[in-house]
Amino acid sequence: MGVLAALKSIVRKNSAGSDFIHRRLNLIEGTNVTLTVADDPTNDEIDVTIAAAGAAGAPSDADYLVGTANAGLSAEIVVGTTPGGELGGSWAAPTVDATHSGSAHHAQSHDHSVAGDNTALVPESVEISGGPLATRGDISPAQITANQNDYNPTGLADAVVLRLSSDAARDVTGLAGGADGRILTIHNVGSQTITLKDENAGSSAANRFALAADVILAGDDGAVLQYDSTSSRWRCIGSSVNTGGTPADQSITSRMVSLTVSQAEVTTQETTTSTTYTDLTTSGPAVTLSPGVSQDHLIFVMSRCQNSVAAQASYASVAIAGATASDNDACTTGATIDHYRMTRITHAAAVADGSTHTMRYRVAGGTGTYSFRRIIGVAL
Amino acid sequence: MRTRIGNPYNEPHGLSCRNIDWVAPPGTSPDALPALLEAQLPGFHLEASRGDAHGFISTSLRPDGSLYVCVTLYDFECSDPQCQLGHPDVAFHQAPQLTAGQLDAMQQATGIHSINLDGTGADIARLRALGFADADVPMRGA
Repeated sequence: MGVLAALKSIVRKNSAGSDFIHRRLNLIEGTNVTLTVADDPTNDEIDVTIAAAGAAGAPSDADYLVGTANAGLSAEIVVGTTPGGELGGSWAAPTVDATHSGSAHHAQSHDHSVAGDNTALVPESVEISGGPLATRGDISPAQITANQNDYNPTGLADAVVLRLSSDAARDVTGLAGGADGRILTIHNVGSQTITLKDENAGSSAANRFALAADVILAGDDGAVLQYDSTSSRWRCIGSSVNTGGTPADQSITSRMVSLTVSQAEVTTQETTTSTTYTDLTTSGPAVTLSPGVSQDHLIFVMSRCQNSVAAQASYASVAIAGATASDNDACTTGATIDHYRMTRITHAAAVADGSTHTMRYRVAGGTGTYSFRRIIGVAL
Repeated sequence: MRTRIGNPYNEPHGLSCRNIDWVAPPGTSPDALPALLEAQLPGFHLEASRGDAHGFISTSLRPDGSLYVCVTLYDFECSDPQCQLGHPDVAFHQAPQLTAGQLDAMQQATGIHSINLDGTGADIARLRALGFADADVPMRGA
């Protein structure tokens, strides 16, 4: 062994602890550490470079969620050692508080009434995939014993269905509580007639009904109304009764249809030479139609007629509701031979209730002779 | 024979007319009346085939075969071709006043039924006897 070999090194960790004295020092690469040993004879040294073998460590300025603040971090979010707010328990097993958990929260989301926030649901659309569909919220106000203006029974504000009855035939000229799009169903649960009056000035404008005609609800009839805020009126979108307006084309199968029909006839043979429409000596015949409401009328006029002069026309027409008779509504003949003619059927639209239609006669020339004059009126 | 002033036939101009009526015996032809009566009233046109008229004739065949006759004479003029009352090609002329002789001549031309009118209150019963009802034209203004 040489001199150098006889030299021994003393190694101590962290300037403390035990001294280890041997001739040779082994530097061993630990985990993630690399050693580089280089001889430096010039300076009579041995260079040992110790370096970390892995990647760089985690950044200290990242947004860490930590239970408590850490001095080595600069942007950590301290959430506490246990969950807070609507959460409870521990981070390992968080819980949800009673307000926001389970069936109670579900019920509140879908019932905005008593336990909720009373905010109306306003969905873009509603689809009901299965029934039944029910509209509750019906009220049964006290029996109506007088005509009602601006009708506003207790509970109307929250009602969906009005169950009405009256002691006699009564009118309702308007209804409070209109709001855009509101739908209200009215049932006449009594036996007396309740009439929803069209544009009746008895009620304030914003409470009135805009109807084709009065809606007459007999016992057990009903109507569905919707409020139109653009025109500030209640409008009828469906009813179980005939409103008296002109119906759209409809097909009726296997139903009893009640029509108001009236007919009259004069058989006497009479003549005229008048060139304007006049009565004959026995005037008429005439019919008066009183179905109770304004309606369309079909009017049939027919007569045996002839003229004393060939090619001169004899006309039998009708004065509709007192208006001047017209050739457009007349049956006519230009023959000297007795003819039995039936006119085109005259359709008179929206004729006032109680109107009378009377046959009238004229000639273009010569003498017109008429007999068996008949008129039939039908209120549709 | 009697004369009523008014518009019992509801002539649509709504103006007053002279209405002369009587009852002719059975067998009187209504078609023959215009020519028969115009012959008694020179210048009058009582049917419109010539484009003008002074009035018109109405008749009613009664159950006993007699013929109620009424001559309605216009007391107004209307020659407006645009008149909306339906006589575009016929001018209405106001009829001259008739003399007693002309009135009688008309009656004599058709003959007179045993039940005739005289313009008195008894006419109502006579008209009823002929089968007229209260709403019929002969009762208007009677």
